[in-house]
Order: sequence, then structure tokens, then C-alpha cells
Amino acid sequence: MLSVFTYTLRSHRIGLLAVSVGLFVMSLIIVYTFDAFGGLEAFADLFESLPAPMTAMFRAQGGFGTSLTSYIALDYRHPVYIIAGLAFVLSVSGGAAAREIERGTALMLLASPMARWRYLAAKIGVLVVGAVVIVTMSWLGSLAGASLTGLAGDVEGGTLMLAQLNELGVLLAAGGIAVLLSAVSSDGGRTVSVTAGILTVMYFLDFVGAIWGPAEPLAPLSIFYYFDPLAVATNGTTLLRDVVVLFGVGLAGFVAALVLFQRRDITR
Amino acid sequence: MSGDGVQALTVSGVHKRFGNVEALRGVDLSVEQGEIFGFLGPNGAGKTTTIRVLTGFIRADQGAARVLGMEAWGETVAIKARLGFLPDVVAFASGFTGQDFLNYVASLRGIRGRLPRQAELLERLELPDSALRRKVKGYSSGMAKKLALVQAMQHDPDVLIMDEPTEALDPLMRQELFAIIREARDRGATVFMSSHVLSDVEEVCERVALIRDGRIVGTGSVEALREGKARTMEVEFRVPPTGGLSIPGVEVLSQEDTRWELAISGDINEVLRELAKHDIADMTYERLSLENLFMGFYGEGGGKELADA
Repeated sequence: MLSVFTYTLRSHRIGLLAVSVGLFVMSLIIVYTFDAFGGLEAFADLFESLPAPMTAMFRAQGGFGTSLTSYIALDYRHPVYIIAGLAFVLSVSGGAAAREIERGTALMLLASPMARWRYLAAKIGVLVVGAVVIVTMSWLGSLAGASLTGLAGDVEGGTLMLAQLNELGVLLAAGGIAVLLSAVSSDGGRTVSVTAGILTVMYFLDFVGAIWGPAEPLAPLSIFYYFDPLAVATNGTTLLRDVVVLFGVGLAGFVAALVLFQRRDITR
Repeated sequence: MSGDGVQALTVSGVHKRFGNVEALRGVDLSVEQGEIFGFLGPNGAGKTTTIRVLTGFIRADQGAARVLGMEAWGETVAIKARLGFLPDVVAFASGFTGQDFLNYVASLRGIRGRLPRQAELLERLELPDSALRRKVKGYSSGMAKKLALVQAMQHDPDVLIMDEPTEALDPLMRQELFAIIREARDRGATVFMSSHVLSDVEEVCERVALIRDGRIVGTGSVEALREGKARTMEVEFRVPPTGGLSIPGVEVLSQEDTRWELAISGDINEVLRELAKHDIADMTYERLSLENLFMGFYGEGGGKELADA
């Protein structure tokens, strides 16, 4: 199992490095350019002038808060963070089972004396470790940016860590869905496409639910509904619920994937 | 056969359906320990599905498959500890060198480092260190097959299941592989190999089973399977027989002007004596092809158990 984990991590190291370093730099730049845009007051004015759909995208309909910490947390909901993190998750999960079965590369490996679920568990382990690395690097980027600009005293590192915990929940929930689909499929490309489609629909369900009353009851069906880093920074009231739901979805997906992968036919 | 009657592999009444396709329709097989057993059939006959049932990749809808007395699906981990497997599709994950791949596969069996048997197999199958240092992505199909064969055999398994092991190998390598297979048998291993090339199976296997449309249509030694089956003869007459041919054990399959195709199931001496009464320009007498063998069994309308020759 350790061999599978090590090999899988090694095969995804370039992608993981690219995403985590990229998000580190992005987090750093967001803080580094904060003053250049005019600081808190300028951003408050900017957000007040934005149309509702734009603020809804950041879950900032009630304003973006009054601190540098809330400003940074708000940016964690930037689509680039979400897309970059999900790209890594989809890459690992698509290859976890479906792509290997499709290409036939799984056959000689699964002929070893190891339960299939352990093989998949090692792949899930890489996904989890990768997701932790990504959110940690994003968090470190924010702290590095604050240090470089002399604003370290204005940033609550613990609060931002909790906001990244919320982001970790999103990545794991998406990973749970993606690995589950991968575990029952023999087509890696289709698995990634279907997962991306499901996540896109979820993203817009959350977005539309925030700006259009009739769609509001559907928003909780989206994992992105439970991703609100700004709320973590401003009041933190929904963090426990959000983390429980997101980690629960992830865990349920992983467990279901392990069970189904153990029982399925390997037909290609 | 070298076994002592202990069954290494058994398949009893196995059915498997994929959607509307019934891939296996009651397959029955048994292979004794220490036996080299060939599994013959055309593409799509059910060879790979049967092999995947035996190796625990596919669960049978009905019936039972056992390897070394263990249930193929439920005890697959214990089976795989004693199994070497060569799949029909030889594909490697990207990024591996040949040596990395062999080490990785060995590590999945809890083995670290290079096995002594590995070095011997690499030498005999002519995969030098320079090839092993290269990425498998650039391997020819023959090299890829050799590497896959080494991974299947490097841990000296008790049971070796190989799906089309000779495909992509040149004639010399085939001979070397057959020698390796015989040595494995001599050490007590059981070898089960599928093929659609009759000559390969004939050369190395002690017994064979024929599968067609998901059913076993014959089992026994190759010679036993051939008993009573027609060979084909093509005869080019200078002057074709005007009243046709009436020779016991001869059936005219086709007739194009002076070229006649005959199915010969009787005594060849009698056939030659009768043919000699005509003016013949040319003649070929072919070994029984796999296709004709199948046709013979298929024409009889189902499975047939033959005694070992």
C-alpha cells in the first residue's frame, strides 16, 4: 500500500507542485497588492458598487468585512483557487481507478496480493495529502504576503487557517464525488468530464441560489454552499456545520468508492 | 501430464453476462497441478473472461471458480500471493523505466530489490540493462511483452496464468518462453495459457480446452481433439473428374474449375490411391487449422469431452 502511495504521489508531484506554488504566489500577491489598491476603505467602496451577482460569487452580499483578514478570506473564494484545487483533485481521482482500467495499466498491479480497496485507499491518501498541501501553501502565501508588506500584525493566521480548513473540505468533498465515479467507471476521460459537469452544476446552483429567491432552497444541495471563508473570518458561525457537511460528503464518497471498487468487475 | 491428480484450477458451470452479451455460458474446466494447459479459442470466444474470473477480476454470475482450492473471487488475495499473471493487454503507467516497473510490482508483493530469478529471466528473454533503464513508454510491443512476462514469473509463482503470452514475440523468443514454461512446470508450477495460435499450444501444452461462444467445445490432448477431424486438401486437376469424386472419407468442400478443396477424414493412403487415378497438376495437404478444428466441433453442436491421448 505504501508503494502505491509513494508511486502515485511521485507521478502527481509536478501537478501538485504547480498548483500549490501557484496558489502560494497568488495568496502572496493578493496581500502584497492590498495597499496598492487603496486598502480597506477602497475595497469597501468597490464592493458596495458591485452588482449583487458579483458579490454573491464571493459570498459578500453583506460586505466583505472590516479587516485585512476578512479581505484575504474573501479571496479564498476566488474562482482561481477553486479551479486550481479541483484540477488537482480531478487529476488524481480520474487516474485513481477509471483511467488505469481504461488503459489496462491496473491489471498487472492488481494481480498482486493486495485487496483492491487498499490499492484505491493509497490513491485516496495521495488526494488527501495533496489537498492538505494545497490549502497549506495558500495559507502560507497569505502569511508570507503579510510579512513582506509589514502587515503581519493585522492578519489573524489562525482565522485564515480555519478558512483554509473550509477550502480543504470543498476539495475533499469534490474528491469524494470524483473518486466514487472513478471507482465504478472504466473510462478516465468520461469520469473527469462527468465530475467536472457535476461540480459546475453545483457551483452555479450555489450562485443562482444566492441571487434568485426561487432557487434558494436548492443551494444546500451544492458543496459550494458550505464554502464560506468570509463568514469564517467575520463570525465563524457556520464553520462547524460546513466542515461537518463537506468532510462528511468526502468521507462518504471515499468509503463508497472503496466498497464498490472492491466489488466491481475489472472488464478492460 | 505431470500432475498427481490434484486440481490447481477448476471452473464449474460458470456463467457471465455483460448487459445483453452472454460471455460465458456454463464453462467447465479443470487443470491439474503441474500441468501446462492451453486454452484455445477465437477472439471474443470467452478466453479472457474465463481468465479474469479465475484471477478474481470478474465475479461469475453463476458457478464456481477455484484456484489451488481457494475461491477465485472471495479468496483472491491469498490466491494472488501464489499467482503470476500476464494480462491480454500489456500496458504500463507512464513514467516508469523497465527496472522501476519490475521493482514496483515486486514491492507490491512485499519484495524489495532485484530478485535472482528476475536477472535470469531478463537474460533469457534478452532484455538487457540498457533497455531496463529506458522509459517503458518507448518500448516496442515485443519488449513490453517480455517485461510483462518477467513481472509475471520473477517471483516463481505456483500458478501461472497467461493470456496470449506469445503474441508480439518473435519465433526465437517463443521457443525460449516455452522452455521457461516447461522448467516452471518441472518445478511443480501449473501453467494455464490462452492462445488463438494452435501451433503454440500444440508445442508446449499437455492438454487443451477449446472455447467458442462462451462454451467449452472440447477438452483433451491436441491429438485427441484432432481425432476424427478433417484435414483439408487442395487438388489442382489437369482434367477434373467428370463424374465427381466418390472416395470414402472425402468430402468436396469447394470446386472452382480445376481446383478442388477436399475435406479428408478417412485413411489418407486410400485417398491418395483413388486420387492417383486422375491427372493431377498440383496438390497441397494442410495440417488441421484451428478454424477447421473449431468448425468440426461447432458442427457437432456443442461440447465434447475427449479422453487424454
